[in-house]
Amino acid sequence: MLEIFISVIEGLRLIFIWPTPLALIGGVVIGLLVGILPGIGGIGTLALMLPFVYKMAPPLAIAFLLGMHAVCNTSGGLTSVLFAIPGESANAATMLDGFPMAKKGQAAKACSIVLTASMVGGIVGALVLAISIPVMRAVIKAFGPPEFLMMVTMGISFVGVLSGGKPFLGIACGGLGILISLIGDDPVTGTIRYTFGWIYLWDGLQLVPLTVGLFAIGELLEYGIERTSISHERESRFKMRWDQVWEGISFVFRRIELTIRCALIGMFIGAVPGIGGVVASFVSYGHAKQTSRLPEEFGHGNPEGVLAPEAANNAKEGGALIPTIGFGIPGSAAMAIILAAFMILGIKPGPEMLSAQGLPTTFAIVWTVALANVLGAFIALSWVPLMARVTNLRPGILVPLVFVLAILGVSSRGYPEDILMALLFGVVGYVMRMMDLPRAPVILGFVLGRLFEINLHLTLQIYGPSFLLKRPIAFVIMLIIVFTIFWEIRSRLKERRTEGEA
Amino acid sequence: MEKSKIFFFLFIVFTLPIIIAARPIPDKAKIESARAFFKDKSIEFVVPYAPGGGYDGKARLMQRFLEKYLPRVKVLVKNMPGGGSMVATNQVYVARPNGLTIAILSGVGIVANQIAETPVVKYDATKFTYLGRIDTEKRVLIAGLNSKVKDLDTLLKPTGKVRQALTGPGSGSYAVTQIVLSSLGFPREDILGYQSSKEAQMAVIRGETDIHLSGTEGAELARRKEVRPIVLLTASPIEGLEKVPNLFSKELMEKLKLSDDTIKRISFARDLMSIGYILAAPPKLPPERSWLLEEAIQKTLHDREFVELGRKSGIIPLVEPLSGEEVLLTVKRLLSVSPEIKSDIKKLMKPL
Amino acid sequence: MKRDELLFEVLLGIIIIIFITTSFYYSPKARLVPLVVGFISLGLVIIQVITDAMTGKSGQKGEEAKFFQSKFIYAVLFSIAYGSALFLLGYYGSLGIFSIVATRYWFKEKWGTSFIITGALLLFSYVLFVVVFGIELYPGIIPAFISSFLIEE
Repeated sequence: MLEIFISVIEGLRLIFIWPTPLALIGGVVIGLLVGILPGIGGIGTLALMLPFVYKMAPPLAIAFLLGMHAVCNTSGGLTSVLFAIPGESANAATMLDGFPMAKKGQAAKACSIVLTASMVGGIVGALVLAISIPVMRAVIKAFGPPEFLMMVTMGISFVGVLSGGKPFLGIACGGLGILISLIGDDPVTGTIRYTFGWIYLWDGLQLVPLTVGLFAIGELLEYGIERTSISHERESRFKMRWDQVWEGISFVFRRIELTIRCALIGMFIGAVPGIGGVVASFVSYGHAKQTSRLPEEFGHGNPEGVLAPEAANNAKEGGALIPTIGFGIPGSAAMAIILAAFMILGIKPGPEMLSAQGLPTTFAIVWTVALANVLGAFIALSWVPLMARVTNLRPGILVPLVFVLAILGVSSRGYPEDILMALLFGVVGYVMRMMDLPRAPVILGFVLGRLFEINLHLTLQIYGPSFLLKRPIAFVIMLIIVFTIFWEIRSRLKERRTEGEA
Repeated sequence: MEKSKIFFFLFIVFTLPIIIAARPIPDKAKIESARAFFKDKSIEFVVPYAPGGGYDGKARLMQRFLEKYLPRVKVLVKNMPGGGSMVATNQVYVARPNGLTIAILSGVGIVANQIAETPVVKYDATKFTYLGRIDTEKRVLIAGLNSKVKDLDTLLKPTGKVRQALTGPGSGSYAVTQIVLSSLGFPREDILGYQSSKEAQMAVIRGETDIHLSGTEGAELARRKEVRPIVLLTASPIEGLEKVPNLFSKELMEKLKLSDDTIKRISFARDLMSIGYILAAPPKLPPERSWLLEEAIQKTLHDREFVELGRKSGIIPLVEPLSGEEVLLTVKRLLSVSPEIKSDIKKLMKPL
Repeated sequence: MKRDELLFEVLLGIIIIIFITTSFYYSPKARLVPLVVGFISLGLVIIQVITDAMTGKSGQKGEEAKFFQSKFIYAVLFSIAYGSALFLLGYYGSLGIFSIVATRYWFKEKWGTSFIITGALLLFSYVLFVVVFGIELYPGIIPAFISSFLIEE
């Protein structure tokens, strides 16, 4: 016990050795900047930074890289709120209620909720990461394909929750999302499906063009065609309202149990390799909606809808570090790069990092994540006034600007076909928006579809159809799913009944 | 230092001058004009996979050393993922042969796909301008600590079916490794669907499968005692696993009394994997430019700091340079493989 | 709106049917999940279509319908136009033209303002992508063709 305490302090000390704090701040600033641009994110920049890492001492490099990565979801939430452009795909859910809040003149409040929730979520993530260190490896070993299958199914079951007024159509859209996620090569059989000969589709549709298209370009088409400005529905031009900022901050703390719950959901989901922040944020959003007293408000500016995804997507980073540190299995693509950096620095993941010599470094990582989140929130807060004023610009300037950002975001792979996909989904997104059809199920289905199929086939091959009887954890998760669905159906029927009576 | 390490260190130090001297030097004037051409330009270093993977790591490691040996030239890594490296390979094949595009490619991938005549192949592997090889592909068969497979004997004569975790069905790597394992004849149950080697390794650690034929990360896991190394498929020693039986060694093949047919197949796999991670440029590159590029590449591969960095990070555990000329010869030899092996490869690269 | 919603749902149904029928070309393992998901989704779409058709209003007022459809057509035309421009003229060319045309004619800005905005955006794109990230922005078929004559071999 004493050893662990000493390691914790030692880890903190490592970060304060000059010039490490500078590296941390630098990383955080770059991470925030990068998080604003959709699509250009964590991964490209991390890969870019790798060569510089070679020359740095380990604590410095950790502070820089992790500092950068921990906050990439923080600033993205701001653009979701202000421009309806998710800075990272994980910020797409934030837009659903964040943007309506901005239109109602509550942009400052929404932004401060984004930042505060991100900060708290990130800290919770770091905390849970620290606590899980002793049991990390055992837990990871206990989670295999059956458990992943159930977790993915749980994610999919939220499709109904997110379907808004037309549940049947919403679920069908989720089904469509799953189907399009299967385009490309199938890791189970090697069959190339639904590509109709187009080699670009071999690796499947990409998440970034899909999210940017469905959400951002859909909104852009609306501004462009209606020739409105974002503030047209507002009573006044945006003015920095510090009272709203305070409201936002206190809101997050007043609803701390919701915040923590969403952070935990984010962590849990982040720890499963392959599932990204998108799922964490949408599932969290769905959970908040289910447990809210005003579920009808969701989609129209309920602050809980901003709090939930932001808390989740920052906590997820802490979660993704668990398999990365515990076994050297990267929890996400960004983690793969961070892992490569660790290896270069001589930090070997696995039992070494959890041993007496490795613990200080491990805790340095935890502290970096926590501090980066706090720093990120404060630094980003200072940017909010400037960013928000941009929404006052005439559509003539704003629309081309936002359009360029969206297109750039989709260009990070360098393939023009990605832009075409984004345009296609932009039109779809525009249509769905005009008809008030839910877009969230499509994204959720898309992100989870492939994982569902893969884990299903692996589970069946290894454990057979009776896997639920052999895997207690999976069984428990299944019970949660059944309960969730049952609860959702019950609330909808209740709604119907009260509507009928009214 | 152990014998094999000393040997390899000397090998690296002495092969550099041999490799450079052995290549025909185009005349001096042409080289100077080529040097002038490259000045202040940027070379695109194509990587056929997304950032963060092994290929990407090798390319980025080489990047700054290449810039060091090509003064006033910028080297930019460009990721071109897609089609299991086929998109990038096809693109590089038709890129302008002016020396400003080079790529790191998978030897196994490009040769296997051409042998199997997969429809997406739009290149001829014998026509690339090869600039050298970084290192060879190596495999380690790992088994879980609690698995029924404890060593080579229990692998070849197991108490039940041996469960194998597999990735990438239908790819070149899949074909090559399956050819070797099938020729060993032990009862096998293939579990398909793992998306990456890391996940397959995790499956072995968890005990949901018995074995996985992994790359050098598997060696790392074995060194850390998270898994047991059963047998190696490698043409050169792997640090820490020198005592593990190596299927590619003549002694082991004789000891196991393998049939001639089997030995042929294993030799084919060994030769294919020995092409490893190669550097190539589009066909018909002017010889003076390819000479300059190859010189910079070979200098990088022999650079002390580069070798040390590669080893420490695990990205390139052992640098095994080969000249572009020799890569070409090996490629040509492999493409004229026997019809039986050819049809085996074709079958293995079809979807299941 | 009802009629257009119905149209969307039918289109969705058709897309799902395409997935289902294509799935029959693949092996049983490869078609398991797509077929299950496909049939369930198709079933739900059909239920929704039937419900809407039976309970929907007889149609929408002519004005609203026309307005909605014209917006949709604008969106599609824009995408096709921009997409083609992107391939032919590349990133810079297509963005340049669209930005100028949109700001000048659609948003009614002055010529000067249009050029300044467009120039600033193109410069920003170039600096961020080419200089900082080293990622090339798509050159386009026509510029690539022209430059193949200009760049020394």
